[in-house]
Amino acid sequence: MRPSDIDALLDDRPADGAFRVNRRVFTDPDIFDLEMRHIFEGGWMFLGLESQLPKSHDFLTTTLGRKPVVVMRDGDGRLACYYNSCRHRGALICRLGQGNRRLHVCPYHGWSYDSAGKNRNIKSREQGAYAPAFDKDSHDLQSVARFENYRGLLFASAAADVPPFLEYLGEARHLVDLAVDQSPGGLELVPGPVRFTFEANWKLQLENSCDPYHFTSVHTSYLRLLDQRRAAQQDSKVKSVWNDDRPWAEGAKGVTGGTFSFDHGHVLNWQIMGVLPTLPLYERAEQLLKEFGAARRDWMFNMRNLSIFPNVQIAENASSQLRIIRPLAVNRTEMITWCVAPAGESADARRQRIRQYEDFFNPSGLATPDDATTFEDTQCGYPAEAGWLQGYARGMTATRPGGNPMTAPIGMTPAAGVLGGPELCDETALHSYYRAWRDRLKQGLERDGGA
Amino acid sequence: MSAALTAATAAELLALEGHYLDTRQWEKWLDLFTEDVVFWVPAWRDEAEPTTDPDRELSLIYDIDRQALVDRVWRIRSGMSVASTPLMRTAHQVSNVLLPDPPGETEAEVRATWAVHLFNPANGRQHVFFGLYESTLRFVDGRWKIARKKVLLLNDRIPTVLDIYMI
Repeated sequence: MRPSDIDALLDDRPADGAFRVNRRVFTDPDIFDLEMRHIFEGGWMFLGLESQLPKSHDFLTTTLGRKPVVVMRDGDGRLACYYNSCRHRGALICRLGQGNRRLHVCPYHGWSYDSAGKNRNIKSREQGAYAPAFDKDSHDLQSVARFENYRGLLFASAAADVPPFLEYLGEARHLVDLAVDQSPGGLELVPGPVRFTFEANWKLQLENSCDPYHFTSVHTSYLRLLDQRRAAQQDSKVKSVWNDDRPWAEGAKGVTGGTFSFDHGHVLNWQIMGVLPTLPLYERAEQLLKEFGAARRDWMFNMRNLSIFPNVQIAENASSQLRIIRPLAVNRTEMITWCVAPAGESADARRQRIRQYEDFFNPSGLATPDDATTFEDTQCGYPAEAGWLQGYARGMTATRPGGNPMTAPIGMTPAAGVLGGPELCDETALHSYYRAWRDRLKQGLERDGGA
Repeated sequence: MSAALTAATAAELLALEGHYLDTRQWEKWLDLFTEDVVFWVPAWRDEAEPTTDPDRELSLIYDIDRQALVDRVWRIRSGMSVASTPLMRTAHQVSNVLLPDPPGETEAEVRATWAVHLFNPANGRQHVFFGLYESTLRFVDGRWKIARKKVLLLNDRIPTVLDIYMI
């Protein structure tokens, strides 16, 4: 495949008001391989939260594309990311998702490494009749090329030739800040990750998070249930902000939300929510007003779906979810999902956040299964014809470069933004994903000289 | 007046619960639960430990009254949920029903092992969810009902969807 083959998969003609995506990007295994090499193993990827590793010698394991890695906090408290593979024969040295270990002993032949990645023992080395050539090699764990901690969010890149992380995150950092600043202790994960798979391409999850258009059709049963609960005036276990405020309601006037696009493929879809007592963050409303002013505080209470390209999304509405997208095959994806919360919130707020999370976000809840099933139906639909999808055209005449009145008060300048009512349901923010996708694959192919 | 719970009665109640789900007798299924039933499916903290405190840790399902189950049944039957249309075909198997010693006169916590075979007629895929039940049975209105059902799902890597009728 050549760089020009990638260009041919996106019909990107802003001057003509056209943006179309070829169905092949979701179904071609060769494209999936390129995505693994040049996106997931070729650039910045989210790993986890620093708060998962509070103590010296804590570790967590994850993957960069197909590459297993381990993040460790050493005895001096420093965090680093290494490939999770013994230098001897390649076995995983950490076999658990998380833990605390001063010394990692490879289960295969007993080589051991400390929490700073240094080789501490090669079993029976003296008796091993090693040649001097062996002694010249480093036997330490191999560091992943780049590692970065942005306000407690950990990222790494398996490729060294990437932009500095802050440049990569760019103006989207303001949106990460809105999540982190909700508590002086930053973000923490509620114990109990939930993993699920769907038989569809990973980019469907990426799209779905920035797609208000699907909400009233895919989640009809959920919305009806909320109506029923409201009508019954139940003292419901689930106090939901959706019960108070329905920004998607037909006929709502004026601007209710919109999208922002950022360089490098980051995207936000948001809606005005209001500082409502039904939100778990409400207990902090006054304090946050004092600390950050009205604009930033109110933004913390807006519904926000943030995607940091390519593998992490933070969704904040009635509850809050951190999800990691892990592509397994061109038509198979694993989601690793967590309820994420401001550290140190009250027991009542935490309980409310958890209940609302289970109701909406879980693959055993009342909404997400309908998304995941729809992804699979979409994957089945792609091969119907060769050609262009028409699902990236809403908002084309509403998108404006740079910031707007909503971004100015928080000092954020996105690449582009759309403001509108509940039925506009912009799709142009998705262009940002696909332009980053195209650029990354083309750069990779150019670097490899074709292939 | 109640008689102490027998193994046969407990096993029959748990089998009936699965049977009503497998045969889509939703009203009869709902009628097996007390009004204040807690239907709880913990998540897993890590490889070894399930979550134990639903107010501080995540659960897959934590429905704390019968109305929440009514809501779920409504959604399942609504025709508005693509994840529930068509419904998976299911076969519940409940075994190893263990009673406390001595079994209570009006309430008893019963343990059992379960497996549910699933077939999705939409795409031909099959799956088996399996795990352990802890069911608190309570004698009310002249019969034994389920007052609390804790479903420990042992294979919690969920293919696309998990709902109350699959566990």
